[in-house]
Amino acid sequence: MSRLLKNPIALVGLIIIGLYVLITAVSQFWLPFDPLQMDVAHIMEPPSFKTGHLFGTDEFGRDILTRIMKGAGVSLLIAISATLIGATIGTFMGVWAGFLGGAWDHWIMRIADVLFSFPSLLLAIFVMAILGEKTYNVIIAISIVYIPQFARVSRGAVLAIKNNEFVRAAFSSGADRRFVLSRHLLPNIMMPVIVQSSLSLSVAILLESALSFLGLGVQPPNPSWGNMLSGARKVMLLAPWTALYPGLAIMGLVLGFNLLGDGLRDILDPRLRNIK
Amino acid sequence: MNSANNTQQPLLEVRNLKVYFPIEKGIIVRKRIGWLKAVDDVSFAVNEGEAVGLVGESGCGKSTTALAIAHLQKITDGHILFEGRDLSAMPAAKLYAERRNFQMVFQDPYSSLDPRMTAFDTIAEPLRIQVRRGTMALSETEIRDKVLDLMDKAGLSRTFSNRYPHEFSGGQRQRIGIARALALSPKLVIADEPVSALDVSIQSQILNLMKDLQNELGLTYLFIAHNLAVVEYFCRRIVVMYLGTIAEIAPSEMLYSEPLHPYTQALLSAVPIPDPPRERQRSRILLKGDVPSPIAERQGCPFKERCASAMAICAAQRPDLLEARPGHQVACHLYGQKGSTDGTHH
Amino acid sequence: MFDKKETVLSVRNLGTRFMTSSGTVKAVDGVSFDVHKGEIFGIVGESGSGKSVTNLSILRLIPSPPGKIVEGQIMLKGKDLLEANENELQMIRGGSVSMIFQDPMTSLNPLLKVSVQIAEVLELHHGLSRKEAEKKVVELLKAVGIPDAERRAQEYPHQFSGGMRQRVMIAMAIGCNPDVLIADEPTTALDVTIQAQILDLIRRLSDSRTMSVILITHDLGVVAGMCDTVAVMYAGRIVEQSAVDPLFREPKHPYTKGLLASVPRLDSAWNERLYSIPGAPPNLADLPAGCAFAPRCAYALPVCRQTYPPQTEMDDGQGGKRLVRCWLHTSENSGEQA
Repeated sequence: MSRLLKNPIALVGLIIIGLYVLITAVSQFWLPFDPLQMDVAHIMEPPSFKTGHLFGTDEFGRDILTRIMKGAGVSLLIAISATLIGATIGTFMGVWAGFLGGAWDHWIMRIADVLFSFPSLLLAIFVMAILGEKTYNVIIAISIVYIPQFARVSRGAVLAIKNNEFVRAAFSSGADRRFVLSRHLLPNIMMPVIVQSSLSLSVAILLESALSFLGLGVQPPNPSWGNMLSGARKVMLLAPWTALYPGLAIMGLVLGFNLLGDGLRDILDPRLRNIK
Repeated sequence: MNSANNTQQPLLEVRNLKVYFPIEKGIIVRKRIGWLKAVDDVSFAVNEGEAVGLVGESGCGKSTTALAIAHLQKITDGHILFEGRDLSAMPAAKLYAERRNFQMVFQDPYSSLDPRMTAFDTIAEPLRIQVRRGTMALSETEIRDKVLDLMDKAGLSRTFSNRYPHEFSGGQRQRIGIARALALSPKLVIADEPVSALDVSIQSQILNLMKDLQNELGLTYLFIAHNLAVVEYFCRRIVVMYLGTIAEIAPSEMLYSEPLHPYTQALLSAVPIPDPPRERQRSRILLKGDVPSPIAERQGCPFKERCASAMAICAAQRPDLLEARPGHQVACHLYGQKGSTDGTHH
Repeated sequence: MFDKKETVLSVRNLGTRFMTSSGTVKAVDGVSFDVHKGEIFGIVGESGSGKSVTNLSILRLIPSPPGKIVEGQIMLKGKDLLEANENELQMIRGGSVSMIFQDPMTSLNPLLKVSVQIAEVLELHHGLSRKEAEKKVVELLKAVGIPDAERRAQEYPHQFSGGMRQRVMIAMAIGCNPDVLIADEPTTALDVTIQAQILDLIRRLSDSRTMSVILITHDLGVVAGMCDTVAVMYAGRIVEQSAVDPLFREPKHPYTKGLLASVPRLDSAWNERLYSIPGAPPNLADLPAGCAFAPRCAYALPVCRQTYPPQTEMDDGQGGKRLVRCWLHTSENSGEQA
């Protein structure tokens, strides 16, 4: 993992993510203003040092910077939880499908195919429509979108090494399937799953923002970058900062995760090439 | 360690082994449309202390046979007996302990070791697995001593024990694989093309090592290879396979000096010998055509399409494996039917 | 067998380097040899010996970066290939010099019919029209022994077996009647009975078309059966070069001796212990000063570790000359070349 730090792309990604995490941590203890406090007298004020609203105020007079900081926590929570749940369930499915083969493989992957055939956002909307608009439902919806993706990735990784002779060697020493799975297969497929995870994190941010934008995710007045954008839509031409800063926030975090994922992928490939 | 003693029970006996793979078609519902007969009624025995070679070209079923014997491949039909005990009928729980008696050395030095485990852990794994199962009782210190001793035997320096596979050369990795195969003190070592992936100058090192270990530990080998020269050097007896069936079984000198089956004759004539004048003199038997697909339905002798001596009966009836000379079995209509020991010679 | 007087390809002092993360690797260093008209010239070596890189260098197919041909001359009928420009090279590749590789599956385009692929070479080099080329393709497929050639020409590579695909490769390679065919381990991936067929084909084509062949292999038996002359390579250098009979009868270089003694032979008695060369092939990025084989050599002298041995020329006992790079042989020489 020290190689990770030497890779410039990954390093930049890590720094960016670190910044957001820091902001989230800070926001637990201190915020410049109250994120929900409306101030009708000061609606849509442009950013200025004098008023203390460094990013300006939104259409209800609430401080944008504060809401962005609060939103960071929401976005990170949703993205990380959804990716974790989706990765766990999806990898579990994919590994068993790849390992067992035959009918198991066939049917598990058909289920995954059905889920896969929906465009991610539509699937998420569909799930939200069924479950209702609560924050934890957003996590469930995004997890469901991710399950088939991780199933595919982990199944492919398992298939690549399942017939390697060291797996046979373990069986020939008297190991059972569970042992081989946990001791040999899982450690060796971790890398592609990790790469997929970091890229999924960035997509999760976008999915959550989209859902919130459409009114299906985090409900106002709780801030989420997505619903901030939705609110800003009406007043964008008059007060562009209401849309600019949430948009930049989304972009920054997505970029961070993407860079980290790319860096990880770079590290993964040449190392594999060396292991001839 | 006994020398081959015909009245004693063979260490390994393979009886009428069949391994068929289903061929399926269909996207949603899969339907079986045929069988790939990788191993089609194979029988032979290996005596204690012997080195028996299993040779053939691609698609002949030798690797599948080896995996079936090692119980790493499901058997469709037939029996595998070890010291008289029928392994195919054994419940899984007993099989785990039985596995200590036969271990495998694999072909590819690059995929036979888990890239995330050190050399020490790789060699120790069989012992740790058996200890977990409760079939062996060893402390970690005892395991450590055994592993280091195995590394010595395999010609690996003890300082390498914490290194990872990618830090070793092909020959060294094969040594690790051999040490691992010996961890459970097996009586039978099944070596699946152990030197095919190695450089020529390393091959002889590993072959010498395997021979030394055989003498030192009283091992019995089943040696699978496609390189006839290597098998002929290493093994006392050779089983020649073609398209999932046995063509011929004979002691190596006899196989070389008097090959009976037309396929064996063609095979031997095709192997190049590093001796220019001899090479120029040799007349090669060039087989016509390619190896037929193992999927196609077959009747009669599997070799009939390419055999220069094919007769009418060859298309109709598959020849049985019979003893044409003492100790020398062949499956070919040229050498008579069941019931007669001297058939027409060619 | 072949005309010793007419030299078709002459390689002089070829040197090819690769830049790797572990340093500069001298994959080929000071390699010189001549190939005559109709000769089958064998290059023997193990992995890392430089045999494949030598041949890729002849056709300048070395990916650069990280590789680079740093010195030498490759004279093909009077023209130095290392000085040729890209247009000239394209005409030569597949034209007067063609190459076949070990794995026919990756050398053939799986999406194109076989006849299209072979026709392409003919159209490119001889300006034939598509129709004329396709007729010639069928002739070529017959010449390499593919049965039912008209029908099979319209098939795709995956419909051919390994041996048949190799024949298709050969058909593509001889389409323009090259002067030199470079065959890089053409039968290593094939079964031994198919290998015999393919080698027989190559030899017949060489005889009938007076085509020179450079055959790269690690199998000494194949060399004994096919080649007129042999060069043995180790760590990027030719350590011994000779007509085939004298080499096998009386190998001069300790590496050659070691190889011949360590290979199991079909005619050797059971249980004779094999000689094995101790140690392992050297790391090409970190070659010792002096002879690269010295660390593994049973006969190494102090000078072997310090200075790279000069080339010694000797009589080969059948009217020709043989070459060795070994300090053990510098005293018995009939002339010295550096």
